[in-house]
Amino acid sequence: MPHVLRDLLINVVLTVPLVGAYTMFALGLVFIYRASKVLNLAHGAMAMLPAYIAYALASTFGAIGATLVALLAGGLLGVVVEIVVVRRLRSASATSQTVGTVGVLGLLIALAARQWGTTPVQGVSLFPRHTFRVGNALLQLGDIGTLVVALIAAAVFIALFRFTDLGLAMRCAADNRRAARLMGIDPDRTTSMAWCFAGLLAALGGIMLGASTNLHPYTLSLQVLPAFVAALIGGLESIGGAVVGAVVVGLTLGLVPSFGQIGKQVGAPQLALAALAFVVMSLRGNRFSVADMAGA
Amino acid sequence: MVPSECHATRGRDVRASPIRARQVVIAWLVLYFPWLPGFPLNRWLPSVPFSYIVDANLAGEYALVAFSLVILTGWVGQISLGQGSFVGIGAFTTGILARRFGIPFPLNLPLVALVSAGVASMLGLVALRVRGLYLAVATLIFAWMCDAYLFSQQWFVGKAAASSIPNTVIGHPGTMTTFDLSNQRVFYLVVVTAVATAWYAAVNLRDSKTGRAFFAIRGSEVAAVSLAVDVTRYKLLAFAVSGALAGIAGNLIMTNVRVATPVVFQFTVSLFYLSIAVVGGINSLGGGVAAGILFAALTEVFYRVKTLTGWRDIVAVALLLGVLLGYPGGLGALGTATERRFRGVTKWLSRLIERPIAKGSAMLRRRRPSDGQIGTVTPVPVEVGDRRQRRPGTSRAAAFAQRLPTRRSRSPVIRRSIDLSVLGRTALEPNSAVDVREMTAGDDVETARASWRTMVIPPYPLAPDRSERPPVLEAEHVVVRFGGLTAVNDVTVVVREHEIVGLIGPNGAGKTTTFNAIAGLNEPTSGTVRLFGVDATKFPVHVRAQMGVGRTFQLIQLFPQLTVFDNLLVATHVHNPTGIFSHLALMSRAIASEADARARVRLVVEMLGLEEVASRPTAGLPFGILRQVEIARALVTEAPLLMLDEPASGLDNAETDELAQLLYFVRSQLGVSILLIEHDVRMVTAVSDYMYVINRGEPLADGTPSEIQSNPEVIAAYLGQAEEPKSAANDSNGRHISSDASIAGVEQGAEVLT
Amino acid sequence: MSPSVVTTESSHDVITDGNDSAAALLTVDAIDVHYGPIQALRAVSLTIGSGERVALVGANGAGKTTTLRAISGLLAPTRGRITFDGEPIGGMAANKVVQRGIAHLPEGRELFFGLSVEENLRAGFWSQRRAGRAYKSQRDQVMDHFPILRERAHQAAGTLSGGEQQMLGVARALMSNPRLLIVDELSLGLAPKIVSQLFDILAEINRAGTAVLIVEQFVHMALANTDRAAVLAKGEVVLAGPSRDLLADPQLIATYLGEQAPKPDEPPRRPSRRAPKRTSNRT
Repeated sequence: MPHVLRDLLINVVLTVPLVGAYTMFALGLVFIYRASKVLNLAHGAMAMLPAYIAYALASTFGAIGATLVALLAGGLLGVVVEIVVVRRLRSASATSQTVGTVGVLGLLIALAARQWGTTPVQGVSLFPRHTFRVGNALLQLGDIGTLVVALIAAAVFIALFRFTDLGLAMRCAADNRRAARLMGIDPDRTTSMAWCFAGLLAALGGIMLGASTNLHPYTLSLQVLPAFVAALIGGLESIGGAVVGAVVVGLTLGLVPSFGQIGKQVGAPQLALAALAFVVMSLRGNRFSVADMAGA
Repeated sequence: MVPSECHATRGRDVRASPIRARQVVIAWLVLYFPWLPGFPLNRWLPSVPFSYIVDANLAGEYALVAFSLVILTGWVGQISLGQGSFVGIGAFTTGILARRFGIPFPLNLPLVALVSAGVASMLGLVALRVRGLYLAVATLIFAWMCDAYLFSQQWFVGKAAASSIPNTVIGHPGTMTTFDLSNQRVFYLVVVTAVATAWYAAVNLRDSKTGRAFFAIRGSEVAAVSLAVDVTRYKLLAFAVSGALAGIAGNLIMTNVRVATPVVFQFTVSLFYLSIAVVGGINSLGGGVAAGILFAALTEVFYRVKTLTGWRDIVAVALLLGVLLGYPGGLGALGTATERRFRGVTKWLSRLIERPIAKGSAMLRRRRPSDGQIGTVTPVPVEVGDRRQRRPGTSRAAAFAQRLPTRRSRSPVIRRSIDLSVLGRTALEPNSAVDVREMTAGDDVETARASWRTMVIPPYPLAPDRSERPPVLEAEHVVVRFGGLTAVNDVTVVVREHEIVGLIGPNGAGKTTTFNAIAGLNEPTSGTVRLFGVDATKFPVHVRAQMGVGRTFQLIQLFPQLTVFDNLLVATHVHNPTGIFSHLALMSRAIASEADARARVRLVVEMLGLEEVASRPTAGLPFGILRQVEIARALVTEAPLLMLDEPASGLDNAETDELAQLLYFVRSQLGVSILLIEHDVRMVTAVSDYMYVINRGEPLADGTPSEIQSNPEVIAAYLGQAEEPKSAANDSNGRHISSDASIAGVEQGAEVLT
Repeated sequence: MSPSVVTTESSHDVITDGNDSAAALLTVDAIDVHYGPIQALRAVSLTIGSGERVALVGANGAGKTTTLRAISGLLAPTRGRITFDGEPIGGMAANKVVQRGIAHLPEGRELFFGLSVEENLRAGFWSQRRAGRAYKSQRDQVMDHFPILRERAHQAAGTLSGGEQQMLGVARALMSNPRLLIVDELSLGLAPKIVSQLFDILAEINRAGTAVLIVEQFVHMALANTDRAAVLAKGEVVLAGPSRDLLADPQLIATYLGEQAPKPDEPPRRPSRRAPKRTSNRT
């Protein structure tokens, strides 16, 4: 049945922009988790707001200028969230920290909805509007661009981590906060830096995704959830794992509609992803057994 | 209004509970009557504007969702970011029931509650595997999945993505008894009834065995499970209760508005609900109601004032963040603080209200014979903190033993070990051979209060030959491997009746791993653990606790949000046969068992002289007292075997002495057997009857304390060697210190000891 | 009580005795440390001269590690003063303290296990980045003590053997060119032979002028390798003096293993241990 195969291929091709964006989101989540042991539920919102900023400024500064401003805003947002919310809740319970990031998520969504409304808009695209035909599907140049930018960003951040002094400090602080302090590294500062980078990545992902899909305060903010699943698949601490996870998640979302009537139902991909997430969590859940909590 | 939240952790006496029920009824009547159709007061009262009634209904629905979050997140510590989805499931299920099956309002409510409770407990299954951050993400993914899938299915939400139901009219139209639910004023009665009932049931739940199990899970799961709380069951229960409440809220919304669209229940709504609960103070039911009213008012204001349109969600989430960062107690804590400031006024008010109620309830009680027992079930000889009432000549231990009712548990494992619980009972009877003399005369109140602290305790009459003492705990040839690493290899520990047994070893020797294998926290790779003669190797922790094992923890695992008294009350869980429904409805069985639990705790409090700290929260108490409270908590379970994990760590010399005295005292009074892990070898050698030494995961020696103290291998393991032993050249992995390495340091140490 | 038992106040005198106070590198003056409600240290005092080797010994949970953490800035004392090289460092953040010249090798090594040996050493050099010292020469100088680490330079620290990890720990600490090296539980989990090698290396380092403060559970090993020592019990200094003298002190053994248990036929006694009482008042 060639048309089934063709559908499959088309659906794979259509996941390209998603994979790129999820890679960037998952990387940001991994950065933040390693630096401050927080699952940043506001990450999607930290992508959405800069995307809207770029959209709003595009007419004044042009696409590239607006994107640069938005990226800066994204980095700044990361630092602000870390200092204002996360750092202050560090001594509180994990519940409070999570609720804190959820609060940020809600605040950013509400602000964006107030400012730009809840009608989907087309985000700023850095790439010319050129489309390829792949079978029946249309693929935009920007979609491929998103993936390429994501991979470049991943490479740049991995290099930064591996080869610079700052990267060394960040890895030390992530590996062992106390030992890092004993070396003279200020882990608070490296944590802020990690949030800054994660904010930059989120902004980049948000702008890319806003260009290839649509900008919507709520939908875009929740695009972080597939990225969560990606990061979970990769084990939350591994950069390479996050990239692999993003591919798995992207393919899951893209391929489910190819599987018969059930797959074509509205929301079936999300259902499949949720199932995948629960399976991954249950498997990884062993790490949080009661015996661990009893302490050594 | 219903009794305020401020007493939540103050160990309030359960006898207040019937009063609470009457208060709820009165509060309900007060809120109900002014709007009752045809009620004459309507003519004199200023008529309430229609929109206010709508807002009041909204506030009631918010309050119900806030309750569901308070119970799940505030009490059990299980964070949920998908509460809006449960509300949505409730609303759409109502739609299906009403449209497809024609089940009208009052009848579909319990069904809807059941359905959403079922869905919530399915999500709860995930919570059994993951905690904290991961659970938050799991609930978030659940909400997202509901948004994307469930709420877009036509069979679930109805055609054109909107579910609608016909109106419900109860009674004949046009008569005084008509209840037309499309009338907001009528619906107000329904909402007030629902909120009042939920509030009443939730408060009952909070002050019951179930509520304490919830708090215990939040405070420390490992401590909860060691107090025989079945964590799995109670977590699922919490999810079910929370889901049911959210579903009821959904049911009410649907019945009221009669049309629902998925967009009303998307994730941002979950956030809005979470904001309500957090702003109310995540633990506080009253705060939930207050926050519900506040947020309904906000909704109204932001709707009315045109310039503010669209700012409601921003303000709501900003409030959430502000409360979280600045005033974590929320409105609940604000209420408590305010009440404290105006205590005189509130006291006067509550006396004004409660006196007639108490009279009324006394009358009611006379009519109901089952209630009549409430007063007589608790002839506690002594009130907490007041020793003057104590009857002279009554041995507290005798009173304690007398008060132990025999209870049968429904668990099959326990049924197998009924004779064991008999063993436990006999062990708890005071040993008549022991003469407890008090050193000081009764005129010195201070010393009399802390009598065990100054008592001279004679040696316990143990059988001289150790093999004659019947074994209580036999852990034999226990091996624990983590992956490839052997943490404990072939360790055997036996505790015999009435013994105090010490388990010592240097840092990293595997003491705690052995201990956890015995307690059931990790399963041994091989070997057996027998408790009271029954093979318990495969039993989960809470079952071992039910069999009669009480324990303490190296890092104290008291429940930080509770008072000392409430901490001890949690330990009565194992004796309490009542179930959640008797708690919710505050049946007389629940009241009686609650009184029994309190009496039991009072006895232990009194026996250990903890009266002064009983009503204080554990936070801020001296560490030595906290250790004693933890031991007291283990005693409340009436476990014949106590396992103490490094009880002296963190204590100074005087506190360590007091601890040793306490161990002697409880053994002499109650005949418990004690297994003690310690790295403070001096303390162990002073109190133990028998000792085991392990080193690097292997058994090193066992014997009486004096045998251990003069054992050269033990000395070498503890003090190290002065120089490199010549024989150690081939001992590259350092697993064992050869016994022929007689080095200067060891000899010297041995000389000093003898 | 044995005559060598000293109170906190006099222990301070004993420990400074024979040392010109002007030459004192580190002075810990009557510090208290709390973990929440738990008081871990009670008026602990200690002095270390330049180039001296001092041991802190005591049973588990006596407060040795806490004392070290207070010195290196991981914990802030709730009372008392710590001065290093004449300047107060009590309560200063650890990342600032290391710049003053105190390197702390914590218990359990706390290497960056996911990073390579070389990267661990680079991290150790972090505080010296801007001090005008060349990383390469410092690393080569340190590696001279540990030839094995040269071979392992690109291996992840987590894959090293226990002894190699401990060597890397010492090497990493030395990368900051410290004047005082603090080592917590050098022997933890290591074979005696390896431990004695490590103590030899510490002696080398000390001969080069670095003062060394060690915490050691195995008291004989610690006393054999130091000039002076203090014995902690339950968060208090109960004994202090030259290491050689302490070895002969019966109170030392009692601190560890307790007094002899009563004979079965003897009348029972209260389970009380006669630990030395302090003269200073606790407030």
